[in-house]
Amino acid sequence: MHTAQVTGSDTIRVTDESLLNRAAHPLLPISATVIERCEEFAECVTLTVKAHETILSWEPGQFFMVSMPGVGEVPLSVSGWGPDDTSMQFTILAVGPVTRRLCDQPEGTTIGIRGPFGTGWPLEALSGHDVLLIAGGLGMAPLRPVVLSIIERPMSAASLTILCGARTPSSLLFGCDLGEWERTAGVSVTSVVERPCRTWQGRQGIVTDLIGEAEFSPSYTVAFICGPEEMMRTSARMLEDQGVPVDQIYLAMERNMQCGVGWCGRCQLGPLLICRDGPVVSFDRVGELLTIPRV
Amino acid sequence: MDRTRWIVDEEGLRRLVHLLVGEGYVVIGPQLRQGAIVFGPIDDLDDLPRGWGDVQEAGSYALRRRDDTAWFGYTISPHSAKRYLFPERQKVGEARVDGSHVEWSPFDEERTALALFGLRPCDARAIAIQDRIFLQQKVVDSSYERRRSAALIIVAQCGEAGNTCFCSSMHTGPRASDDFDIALTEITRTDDHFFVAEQGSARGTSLIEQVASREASPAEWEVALGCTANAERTMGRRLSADTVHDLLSTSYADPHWDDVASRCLSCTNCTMVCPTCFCSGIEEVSALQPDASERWRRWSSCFECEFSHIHGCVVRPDTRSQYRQWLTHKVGTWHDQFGSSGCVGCGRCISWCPVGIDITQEVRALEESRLRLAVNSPEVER
Repeated sequence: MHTAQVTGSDTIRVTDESLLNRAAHPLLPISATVIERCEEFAECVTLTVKAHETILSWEPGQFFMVSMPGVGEVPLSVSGWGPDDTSMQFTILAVGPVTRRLCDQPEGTTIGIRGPFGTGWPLEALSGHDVLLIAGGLGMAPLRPVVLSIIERPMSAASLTILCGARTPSSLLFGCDLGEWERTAGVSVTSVVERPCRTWQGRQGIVTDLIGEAEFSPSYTVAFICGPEEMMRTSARMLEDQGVPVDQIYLAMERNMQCGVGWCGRCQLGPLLICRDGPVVSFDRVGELLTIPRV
Repeated sequence: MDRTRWIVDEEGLRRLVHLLVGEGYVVIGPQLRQGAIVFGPIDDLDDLPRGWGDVQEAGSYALRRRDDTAWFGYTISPHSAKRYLFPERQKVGEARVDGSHVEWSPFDEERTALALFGLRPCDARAIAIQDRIFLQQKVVDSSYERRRSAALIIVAQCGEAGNTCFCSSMHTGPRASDDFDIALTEITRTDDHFFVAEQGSARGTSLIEQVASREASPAEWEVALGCTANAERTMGRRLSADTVHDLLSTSYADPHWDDVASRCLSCTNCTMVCPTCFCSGIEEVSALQPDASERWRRWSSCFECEFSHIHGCVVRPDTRSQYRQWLTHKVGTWHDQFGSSGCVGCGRCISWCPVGIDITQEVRALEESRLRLAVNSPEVER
């Protein structure tokens, strides 16, 4: 059990001994064991990881810096809860040396984690609203904890609609979960793939094709969007055009995160430090920045 | 804070250096080395570059012999306090691998108390600016905090400004009124050579009281103020600090960036000499043994080609976007992130740019470009 309080000056003061040690060394990972490894599709695995020490509780949308010793460290959004409050899940696509090694880790090995960092999805803004989740590629990973939260507390949102897109049916993330949520929890799910296979019974196209047809009341809708930046920008613009207020549209931004605590300056996007002011940022704050190439 | 001012003579200043060394401080002061006035450990006043000054312009730095015996006769060193409070390379810790198990342990750096002797007001303000990044955010950098709280700051107030100085525009000088433990104004006259000392903290007061010869008279204080007024008058450059944030936040598409990009080499000199640039990188370094690795934090620069790399692409891959990021951040978005400008007007980036790019000139060029665009805009033509 940890005891951490946010003081009036918004500086975290920790009183638990292990957290004090961590607070003194925020750039140093703590050890964590891979307690479960699940292959989602080729090159993509979900690891359930249990930290060896107490950690601050995380919110959906936040991320950890995850390390392979001697190789490097990458920012990973949390994609789900583990069996207790020192464990969490990361869904990882092997795209570089660190993620390649992480995807290969068998159960029982140790990796390093630091965090949680950043802003989470504003779940408190959902009450009484239609919730629209738009995911592209691996975008469903940071959104999965949002779905699980809403399902666990049905009164937290008026309705939940998921629009998700992938390159191929086999790379549609959490396909089984999506089906189950639709069947058992009243979630409206529409999936689309760019390159269907013979057995694919759903739509062909990209996720932005679905936005015009989705049923939602624009002024009562809160949208969370996660995926490639181009897709997020286009989706947000379409929603804005349909009348969703720009401060009710949230994007999961990404930049080169290294320190995670606002010290290294690498994750800047204009006036924003994505590790501190994001990754979840409302469209009114980031909309114009997204129109500037190479900012 | 008691605002008593004191007179410290040259022997008193010599005693101050010895006192600091005796109290266990590593005194970091100006000295002549490598053809420049740089900062490094000193143990006697005679280590200072007495009688030496410098002449700086865009893309150039040269020493000059003064016609007096001023101890602090230089304008500004390429070195600032940055490399002492925020070292270029810091070891974070080590990872030890034992089979499938890994354990990380922090690196406990040696604790040294530094006396930063002879910092300019702009550099003292630069420390306060870096404090906002490392001490006043949600997570505190405890290594920086340790170095910072142990450090003693002794400012040498400016009596002359250099060609590349513009601290007046940035409201950081030429006189420091806070951000120091002791501030000294050097008075060199044909028949006299002494310092008017101001106390800025309890530690500073206790040191001054041990080396001062007497309290300064109001007339002597006026002379001290006259020195910094002279620096105001001789300020080499200007920058419109009050309007630059809004200018840059709407200049992303300005054609002038192409002009700077044709000159800038992305060499990172400006970011290295800048006393407030704080960007760093975290590196995992394999040790020679297979079961250990080290984590290091090192200075980085927004002009490095991989600085803004994310999964397979680089957000700012060219000099144009890199320079735009640097300038927009330094005098613009720094305000949004940390509540102050990131620029103290020290002029180092102007002197040490190998092609002489001048931050004040680039801001002026953007202002002029904005005026030209406004004049040529369709609304005006109608």
